[in-house]
Amino acid sequence: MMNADEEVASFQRVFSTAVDHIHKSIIGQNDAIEYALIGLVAGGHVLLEGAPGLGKTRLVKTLSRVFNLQFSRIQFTPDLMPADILGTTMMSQNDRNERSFAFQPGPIFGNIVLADEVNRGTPKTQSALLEAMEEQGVTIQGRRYAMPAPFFIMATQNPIEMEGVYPLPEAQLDRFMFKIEVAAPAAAEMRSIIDVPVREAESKPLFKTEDLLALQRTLARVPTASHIKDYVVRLYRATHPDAIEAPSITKKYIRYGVSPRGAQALLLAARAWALISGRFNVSVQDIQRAALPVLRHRIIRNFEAEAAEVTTADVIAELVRSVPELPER
Amino acid sequence: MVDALGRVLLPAVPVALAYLLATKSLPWTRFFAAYLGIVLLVVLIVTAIVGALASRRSELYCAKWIDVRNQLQDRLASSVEWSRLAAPDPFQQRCIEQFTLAVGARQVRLDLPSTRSPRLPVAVGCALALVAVAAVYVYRPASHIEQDARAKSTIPKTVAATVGKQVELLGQQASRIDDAELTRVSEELKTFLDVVDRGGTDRETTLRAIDKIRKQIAVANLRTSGLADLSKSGLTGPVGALADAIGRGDTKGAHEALEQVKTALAQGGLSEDEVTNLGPLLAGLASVAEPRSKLTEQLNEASRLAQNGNQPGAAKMLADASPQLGTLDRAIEARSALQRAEAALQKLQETLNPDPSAPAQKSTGPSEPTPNGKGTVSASSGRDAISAGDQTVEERVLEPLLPAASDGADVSIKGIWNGKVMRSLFDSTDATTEGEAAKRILVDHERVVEDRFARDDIPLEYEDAIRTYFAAVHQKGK
Repeated sequence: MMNADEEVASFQRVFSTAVDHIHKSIIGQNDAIEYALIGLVAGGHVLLEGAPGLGKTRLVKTLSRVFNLQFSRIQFTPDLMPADILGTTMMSQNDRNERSFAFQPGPIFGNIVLADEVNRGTPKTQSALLEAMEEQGVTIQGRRYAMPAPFFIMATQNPIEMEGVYPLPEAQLDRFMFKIEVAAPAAAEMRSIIDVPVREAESKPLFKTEDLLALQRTLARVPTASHIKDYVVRLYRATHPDAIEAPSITKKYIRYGVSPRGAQALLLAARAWALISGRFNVSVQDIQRAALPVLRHRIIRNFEAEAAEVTTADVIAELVRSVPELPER
Repeated sequence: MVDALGRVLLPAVPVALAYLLATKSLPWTRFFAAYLGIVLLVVLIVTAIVGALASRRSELYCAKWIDVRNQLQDRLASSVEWSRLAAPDPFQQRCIEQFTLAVGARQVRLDLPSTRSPRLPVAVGCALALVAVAAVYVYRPASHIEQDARAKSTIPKTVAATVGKQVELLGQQASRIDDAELTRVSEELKTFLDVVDRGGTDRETTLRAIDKIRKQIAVANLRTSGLADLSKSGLTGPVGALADAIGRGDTKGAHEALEQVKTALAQGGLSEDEVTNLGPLLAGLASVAEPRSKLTEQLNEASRLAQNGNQPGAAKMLADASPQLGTLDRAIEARSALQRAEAALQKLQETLNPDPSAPAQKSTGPSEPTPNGKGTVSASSGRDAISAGDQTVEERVLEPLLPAASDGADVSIKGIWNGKVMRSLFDSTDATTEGEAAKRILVDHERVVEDRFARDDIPLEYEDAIRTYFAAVHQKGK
């Protein structure tokens, strides 16, 4: 049984080792790697948005290898059906020629599921992920099947394609803990990427799955002071245009604010940042650091914002600046 | 607290200034100004206290402030909160310990908030302004007079002894010449001395009593006003000796001087200047004689003859009047006694009212005769005579004037009553007949108003205006 110091030290060590290891396969993309890891540790799901070839799939695969997790991939296409994801009941025949119906789990039953190009699937198919993402289980023909632990979905979507895609509904977007915009690598990074072999060599896992579960337990133990919770609430309220204390930018450009699930995700991510920093307490800076990837897909802009080309990132930056850090008294 | 005070005091200053301006410029606000002031003060205090309580920063706020200021990443605020827990969990406990160790090892520099409020100068400035407003509001120039007036009056023993002796002589003189008014003045003075000697009266009451006696003397003096200050005529020779003897109340000397005058007149030995001055002197003696008596006619005739330069004629007329001249002794002695009483009273007043800036009432005695024979009007009949010390009706009552312009027959002054005295003053002036009725009404009204002043029925701010009004009417009447 580790004490608090050991737990925090262990978290830091595992996290930094994992990041370093992933960086061997993926050059650059620090935010994507760190938030993907935080999402994995926090038990959240991550939506990666970026152009093809930026290493999204490789990131997920590497993650699964680092923690020795079962990896499965679902390539979303318009004709993909929910049963293709969740699995179905099939008749099978044994050696004695006895026939029976048996559930054949779909690809969603993995520790790390890559939902590649998730916005190419139909809304019906996309919605097949909802229960699994939130409830950690699926119900098929009245029977519930639990997801393996840990269960982590990393979805990718391509922002450049406009035809044949189905934008994710708000309800599903809200279930992703982070939305990470994967940017094109810088020139220096690009020079290194060129030398990386296209087909990566199979490597041995660095940590056991148990280690990941231990990290998750540590994360759950990080305490949060009341003034930090108050700050999260103030930030949450600031995203709602109908709130009295909402700043003018919210009232002007936001149609819908962040859901309570978003506030929970914000605090969870901040806890992870506190541990990564080797602290026992969550700080406002942790909240602010996690604000953009947690809130950007949860804030729905109005037409005026789109016309004025005000991005959610602009709005979040302004909110972080305007929401007072100090309590009222 | 200072912050809250600063917030509250800032708007309180213009309110207080407006309040002060209102109370100073609008006399009617005095009726409720004190209550309003108290209400405003209570509101101010309550608001300041409530504001201070409401704006009081919590311990957590201060900790968070230090966190932000020193970039401590909320370690202090979190530690402060968790240190209050009965059983903090290991993470919380380690957070507290880690921060404590870091502070102890000076790994973190704590920039603590200043305890001096930024609103301190504003709060102090506003507080001073409010104090100044309160001081201006409370300050009333006449207040010290009122305090003096309520102080117990005391007379030094030496003064009391001197005055007592004079009063005793006055009493003896009054009984010798059997003068009722003089006897009454003497009794009043004696009683007054007894009361003051016991120390049971305040200054205002004492001054009021002095004024009352002074009025009695003034009324008594009206009978002998023709002899007023003959001793100060500055004449020499037999005429001067006569004037001097009359002024001193020396009846024997007066008779002797009169004989000398008679002799000198018979011989035509008086100079032109002496003869000129003898006229008014004899007229003054005639004024104290029995009205419309033979002696009066003889003295007036002698006066006329002397002024016309007919010295032998005047001598003859005086010789004819000689047998009745003894009847003037009573008036001469009474005049002398009244002067003594006046002097005693003056000494008492000077003892009780030593302030040179305070209104002197020396002129409450008989008015000085003027060369034309008419009485002068005291300045106290106008507004100029109303000074800070004039708070009572008696202190500001009009001076009795010489009834020289009238024959005195219409003036019936009996007893001491302010209204009658004041009416007599007006009656004795050279006012036209048409204005007399109006003046009587004016005096009646003024008396009523002064009585109200004395009872504090009328606000102080109105007094000056009312007196100015009456003074203006008086001036117009003249």
